[in-house]
Amino acid sequence: MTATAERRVIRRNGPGTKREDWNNWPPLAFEEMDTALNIQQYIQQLIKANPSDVDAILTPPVDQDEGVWKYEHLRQFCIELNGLALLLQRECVPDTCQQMTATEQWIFLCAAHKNPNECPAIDYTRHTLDGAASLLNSNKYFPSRISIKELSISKLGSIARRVYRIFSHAFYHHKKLFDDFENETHLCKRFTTYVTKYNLMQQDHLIVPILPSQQQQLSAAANQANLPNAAIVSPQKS
Amino acid sequence: MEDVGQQQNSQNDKTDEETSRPQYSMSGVLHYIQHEWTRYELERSRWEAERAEMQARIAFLQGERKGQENLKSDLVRRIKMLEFCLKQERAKVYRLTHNGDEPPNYDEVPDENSAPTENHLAADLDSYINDTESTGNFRQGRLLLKRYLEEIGYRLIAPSDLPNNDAVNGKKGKSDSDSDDENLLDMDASKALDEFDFLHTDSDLKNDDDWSGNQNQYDALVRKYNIEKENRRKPRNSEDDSSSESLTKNLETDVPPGIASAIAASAAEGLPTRRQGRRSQNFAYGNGGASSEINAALGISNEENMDIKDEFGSDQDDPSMQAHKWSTKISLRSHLDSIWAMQFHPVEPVLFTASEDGTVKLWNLEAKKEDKHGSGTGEIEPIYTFRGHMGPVVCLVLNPTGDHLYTGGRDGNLCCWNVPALNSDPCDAYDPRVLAETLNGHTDVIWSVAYHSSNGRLVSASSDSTIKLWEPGNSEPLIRTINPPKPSLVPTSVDFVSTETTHLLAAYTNCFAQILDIETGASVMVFDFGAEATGRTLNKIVSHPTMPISVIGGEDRTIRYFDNTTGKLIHESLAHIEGVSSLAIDPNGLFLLSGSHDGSLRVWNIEKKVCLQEISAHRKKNDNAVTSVAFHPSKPLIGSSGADSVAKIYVAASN
Repeated sequence: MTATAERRVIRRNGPGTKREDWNNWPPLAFEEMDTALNIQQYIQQLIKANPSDVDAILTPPVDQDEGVWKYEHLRQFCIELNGLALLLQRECVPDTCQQMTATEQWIFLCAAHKNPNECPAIDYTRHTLDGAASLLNSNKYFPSRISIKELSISKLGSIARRVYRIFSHAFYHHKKLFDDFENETHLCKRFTTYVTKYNLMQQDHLIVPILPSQQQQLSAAANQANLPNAAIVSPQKS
Repeated sequence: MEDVGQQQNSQNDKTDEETSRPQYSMSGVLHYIQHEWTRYELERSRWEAERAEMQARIAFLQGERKGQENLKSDLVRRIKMLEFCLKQERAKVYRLTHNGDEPPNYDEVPDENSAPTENHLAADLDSYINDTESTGNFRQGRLLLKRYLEEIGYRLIAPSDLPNNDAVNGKKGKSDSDSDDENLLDMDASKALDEFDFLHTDSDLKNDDDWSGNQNQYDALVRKYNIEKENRRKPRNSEDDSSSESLTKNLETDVPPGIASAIAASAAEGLPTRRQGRRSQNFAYGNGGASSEINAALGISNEENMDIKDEFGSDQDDPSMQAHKWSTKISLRSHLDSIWAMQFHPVEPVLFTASEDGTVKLWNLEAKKEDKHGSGTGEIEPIYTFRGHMGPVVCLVLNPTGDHLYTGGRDGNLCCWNVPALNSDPCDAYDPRVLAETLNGHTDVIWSVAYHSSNGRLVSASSDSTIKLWEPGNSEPLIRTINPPKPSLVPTSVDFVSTETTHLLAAYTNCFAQILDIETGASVMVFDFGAEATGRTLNKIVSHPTMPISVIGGEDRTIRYFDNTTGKLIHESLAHIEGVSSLAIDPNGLFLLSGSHDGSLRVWNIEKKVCLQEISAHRKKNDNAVTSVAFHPSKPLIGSSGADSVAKIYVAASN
């Protein structure tokens, strides 16, 4: 036992690990991941291998429970969105972004409060991510990461809808920042593919034209340009 | 004449003879008598001694014989029980092989069995009278009783042997237990029995023993027993309130086949105990003359009961251990990925966690009640989330007042935070001033930070191989860079020496650790790991709070204690199954807490270097499990964080 333990690769970033060696261990087949958190490991391994290969990242292992797969992916999106939030903290200030908006049509209200509140964009971003982290860890809705209750699956949709607004705000108001982030992580592309694949959001809410199909739609829509103005979406309380 | 002359002669001869003999004198005779008397006396006493010796031998042999008889009767009883069990097993097999039909012969098995046992019982009875009568066998009887009581004790902790005994006694109890038994049931027992019919005989039995004992002591034991039993039974309630017949089946099927034989054995052990109890009671009532002696014997038995009870207690909470039993109180879940580090606020029940998800969270353990408008589940949620690092946050440290937080990340930055109010709302507006300063100077992951308690300086260790000394708030914050003694070494963990304010402990990869002088950056002492050290990474170094001792935990699963003044190894112990990832010492310097990638925490007595408790704490992600452990500096709390994104808080269990 110890002999094999000595020989096998230790998959951890121990103290002293250099950044270039971070998570830099030989990939492990999904079947060989014997921990309880194997899905998260697997997803992170796929992202590490190639963050731009969105389809490979979103392809579940054979016989994988779809609920857990969706859950762990959303968890991973929220992890990586912390990076976008960090960047936004530096330049998205209440003076310039008093409201959480993307296009001119929508003002998003922050669901973290007792009564949905018209928070500045950066607060919306932070509150939404904190709320998502809490909800994804909630004992009530997600007591286990091994099996997800059918009822809780619907929560994934509302989390996805809210965090997507962070992408859309960054895209429409902090384009440079968004592009830099997207080029590195391909996160918005992956997210859009994810919600489309698992039908977690309505297509017309996906307002960041990141996929080729969306870009065509956008150009078509721009020609019509007859959407209602300033419709306020008031998200459901969780 | 001649004849006469001859006669004369002969007479003369005679007289000559007589005169030639010693004369009988008064004193001579007395002396002779005296001598003879002494001789007889001597002989007599010798005989008596011999007789006493023989008597002693007889007594010894008699004792031995009694011992053998006891042994024999005990063995006979065991044989009976084994026979009974065998019959039960046969009946079971018969039922199984004959579609559940009751075996014709075996139906009477319990009766057949109980009758001979009763006869045998009577025979046994005598031997026990003898036992109690002769004081020479007092000790033996005491020993025997003790053993029986130990068997009862064994039954208390071994639930698996209960079913068979209950089944057996369920039948036997109906046939031979007198109605007095019913009246004797105390409140607790009868309450339990309402639910669990089959418990009758158990409680009866307890009460049998109770007859001549101290009611209170026994009641306590019975209560404890019944409660334990009840707890054990509850999940199986529905099965249990059926008839005794189905019960028997039920209980038999309850037992996994693999341990059936073990159960049979323990049943054999357990049953004589009960019979014995009943027997003594019957005897006490049937024979008034000897009852006082029995009472005495049972008086002892009650003492023994108390002993056993005490032993039970000591099993779990030996006084020296009792104070340090920790139990999980709260699981803090809000991070989305592995938590790398955690630390408690110096005073308040507040803690900080740094995670791979790029955030640091502030938790107020007392904020639970106020947090009603959140998800409403009563879970503790963080009151503030610090976002300052791109990518994982790896280490953190607080200043001694808890106002400032310093975090190091994979991005190589050190963030200096002003800790927000401990009652702040997570939904407050973002205040950029919370991030006081970002110190960038390291070019690689910052693995460890330490704060100097008196001069406000900060030390960081990075995988760019340097240790840097900072003075946050200064216009030139970077004061000194300390390079490793060898270029191949990477510092992994730093801590200030508590007993020497200018000294810094630094642990490196490759089993190297030293004490540095922070004023000069020079090495003061290199710890001597000895030749056998495996050269693996040291994960954590901590300074003892009051003594010049350093404790180091390494990837080689070992915890080592070093003397700071000599650099010599004081003690080393193989502490965990996998690498030791984290260490913490309680503020008084008595206990060490270690966390390992095997997923467990261990609490150690520093003086005796023994493990007091092991807590299974965190699940693995990859090969990472427990990442950080901490003692609260002023409250009886400990905490651990893990690769499973959960932080746990443990409290000292009161019992």
